[in-house]
Amino acid sequence: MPRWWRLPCLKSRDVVTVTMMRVLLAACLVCAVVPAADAQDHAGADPYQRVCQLCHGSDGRGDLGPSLVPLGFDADYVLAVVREGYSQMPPISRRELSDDEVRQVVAYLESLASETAGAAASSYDGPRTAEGQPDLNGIWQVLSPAAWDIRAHNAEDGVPAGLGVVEGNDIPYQEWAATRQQENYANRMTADPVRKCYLPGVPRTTYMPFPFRILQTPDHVVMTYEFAHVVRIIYTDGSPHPLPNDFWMGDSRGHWDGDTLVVDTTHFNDQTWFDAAGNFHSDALHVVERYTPTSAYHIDYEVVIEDPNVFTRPWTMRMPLYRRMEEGLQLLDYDCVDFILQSLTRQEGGAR
Amino acid sequence: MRVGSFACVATVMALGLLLAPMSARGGQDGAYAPPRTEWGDPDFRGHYLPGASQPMETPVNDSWRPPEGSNLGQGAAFSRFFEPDPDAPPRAARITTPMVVDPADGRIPFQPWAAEQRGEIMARQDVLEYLDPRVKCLPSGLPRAHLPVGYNTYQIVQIPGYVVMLYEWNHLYRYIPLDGRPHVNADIRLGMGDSRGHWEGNTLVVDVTNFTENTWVVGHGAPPEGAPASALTTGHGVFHSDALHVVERFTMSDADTIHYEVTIEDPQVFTQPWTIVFDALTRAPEDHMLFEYACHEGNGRNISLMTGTDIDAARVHATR
Repeated sequence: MPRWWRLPCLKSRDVVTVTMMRVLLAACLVCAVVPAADAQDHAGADPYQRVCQLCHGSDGRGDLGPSLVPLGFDADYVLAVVREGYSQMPPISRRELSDDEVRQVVAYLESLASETAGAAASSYDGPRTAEGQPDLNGIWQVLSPAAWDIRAHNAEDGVPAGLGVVEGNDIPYQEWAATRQQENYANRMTADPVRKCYLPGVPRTTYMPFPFRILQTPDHVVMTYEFAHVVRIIYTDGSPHPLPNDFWMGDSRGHWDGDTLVVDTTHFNDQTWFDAAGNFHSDALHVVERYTPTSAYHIDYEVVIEDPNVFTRPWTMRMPLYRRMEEGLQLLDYDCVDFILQSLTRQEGGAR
Repeated sequence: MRVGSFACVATVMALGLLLAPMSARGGQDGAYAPPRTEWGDPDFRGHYLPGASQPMETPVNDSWRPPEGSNLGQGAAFSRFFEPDPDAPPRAARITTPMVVDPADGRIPFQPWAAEQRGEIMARQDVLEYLDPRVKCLPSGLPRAHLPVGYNTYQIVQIPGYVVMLYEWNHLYRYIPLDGRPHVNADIRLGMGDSRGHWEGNTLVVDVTNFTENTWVVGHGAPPEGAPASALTTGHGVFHSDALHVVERFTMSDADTIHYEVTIEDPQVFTQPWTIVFDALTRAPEDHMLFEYACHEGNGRNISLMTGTDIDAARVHATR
């Protein structure tokens, strides 16, 4: 049966739009790899120096304001932050900086990031794919009690103590949110969404005390988790986040920054927690993960959490991922829903 | 728009160039020969939609037959959801023959006690314990995960040494190693079973064991339009024991279709191995992607209405 009608060009107009967006994005990527000598000639250099440099530094690496290199946010997001302001940053009007200029600044900052990525010597000496990227295929696991509490905590019955994985051990909650977190903690045995077997969200899925498998291809990276057979499909083909829908696991788009897999995830709902201690977020959550392999057996895992509805500033978690080395290892089942059903059948005295 | 038209012409030309030598190359006996991956395996990679709906068994105990030209449960909403293009030609002709090809009577060869048990299961769908495991958001199991339902789509990923199948429904996945390793220990039980694959020519053969007892062997999403529940032509309620052994054969019959032949063996439940055959996977449009199918997360109310059980509160009182 002929499939000519399924070609993107012959389909409805929204597909044409997506195709055009991809072309535009490809154009952006092209301008993002301009060599160093041209950086100052970049159309975004002038508006950056005029408006942004005062706070974010002459090289984009932060001063009064945070570093913007690497950026980790798409142009639409930056545009929204520029217009509405964020934390200490004031809103900037179109008269000061037009929409086009903001996009030029984004391209300029991306060009700065790719310069340094090229220059930075990677210590990675493990296997690589045919495309030259570190080969992350395999089974990995975090060895840390972060799943119970991402901050420093003492042991409890069944919970190992931990030094915490949050930079500075400080989660910068807004005042109301700090109160809400304490309530969550007090009610955690009934309120933790993972206890109801709901999808764990990002990044909690990474540091659940279960292995996960990375399946890496040239245009996407699939992460499959043993806990509740969670799947994340991370497109690395330059495609943008789709129109907003809410997902438990968000929408993940990745790219390679040198030897680092950078994953930008948005479109979350407000139903997941960061751990079993009630640390939480809103549906404005934006997560940027950086997977930097340092050997064939270790990945430095860094996560920047941003949520202007809940926190006063972005904050960072950091922990190693370890490659599981057992021969013949494969992911098995932790089918959480089945345990709920079993406990109900027991309660009802059902025969099974 | 101009970009789109150019891409179109270019794609059509490129496809023409690609297809000409492929069809000329062909396979033995004129069978379709799929392209190969960079490392030489038949290339099944891509996104797929479910195949056309088809009755599971030959109906008995009533006079109902799939009406000529009926859509067999594949309603208008289904077609519109997956094929928004109004200019798209209609879907492939509806198939009215049963999927079961062996035994020849097109019936699932239940042992008598098991046939009775199936009737009991179907009669007690308002009891949590008997309720369709898929409605409870348990894994579909196999081959049920490949039976056509309108709300499932698939992605096949290949890396050297593995074929990986991702199922949109309930975010299920399975890794199929191709290196001839043995099955895991018999004590290990897995919702989607333990898959071991190998290539026989252009056919992917997968041997699956180590199932839980929480799945049904087959089952459509809905009975064919107009079918009375008693017809049981949907394959619902076909339970199995922990001795279930499934052998699947995936073959590309053309560039867009994966033909599926699967033999089901469970000497504790059936009188003989039986085989079902259908086109399980149809290539999806270019821009298709798997969306998150959060099943259990929204299921509490559903289960409560069907069985009167509050699953969301199940562990609220647990102290562990």
